[in-house]
Amino acid sequence: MTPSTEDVSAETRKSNLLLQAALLRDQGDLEQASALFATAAEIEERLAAEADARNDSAHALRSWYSAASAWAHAGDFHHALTLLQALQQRPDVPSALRARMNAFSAKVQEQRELWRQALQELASV
Amino acid sequence: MQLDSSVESTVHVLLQWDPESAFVQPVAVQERVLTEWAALGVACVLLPALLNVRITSVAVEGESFDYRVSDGSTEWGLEVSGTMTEDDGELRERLRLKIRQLQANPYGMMGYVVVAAFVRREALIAIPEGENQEEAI
Repeated sequence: MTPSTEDVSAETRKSNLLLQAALLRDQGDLEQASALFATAAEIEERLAAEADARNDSAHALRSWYSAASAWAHAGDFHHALTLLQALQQRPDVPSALRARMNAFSAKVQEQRELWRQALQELASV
Repeated sequence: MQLDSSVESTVHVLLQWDPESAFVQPVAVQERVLTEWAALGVACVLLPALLNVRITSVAVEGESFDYRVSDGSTEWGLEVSGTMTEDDGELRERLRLKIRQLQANPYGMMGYVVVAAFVRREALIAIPEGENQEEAI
């Protein structure tokens, strides 16, 4: 089955949002970049669920991973890690993709730990 | 995709930019970032004009971006890179590196590679699986 017209339109909107977010991030506008990454992540989750519903595993895996990554870029580590953990449970993840996801999960966890340490330091001032 | 056995052809193109789209002040980003974005712009122009494919989807994969191109029926991957090098050997090495990156994609998807060399005013495009061609512009 092929994606619906609505899915194609959402794919375009999500792609544009991701590019705009990356451009803003590269220019140092992290606040606006985070907002766009989060909006893109929401669309990507919807696209992933729809791909799963039509048994398009390859599209679903790519979209779930992209949604997790976009949440991480938006600064929402918990949401990112929740999606990554769900992906790691899936039997249809190719080994190369699994290795990439594991490496990325480790980096997100590392960032979350740094944030925890920063909060502890703030609390002790 | 083997570079050594590829057929290579050259096409001369003239790219013109709308002055209104140019930045009026220097962009506050590193040169590496600027060349990558500029290369993406070049790919967006050249791929539809020369090869009748266009970028249809962008996804984030960890820290990098995954681009997909399509001719309307088939979808391929796309790797894009920009460089300020003047050296032909370096440019071709960059192309080989990007081809290896494309081949290592975890979805097993083949595709296109575009490397834009701005000082040389040249872009190398490696064309998808089966055709084993490389096109220099």
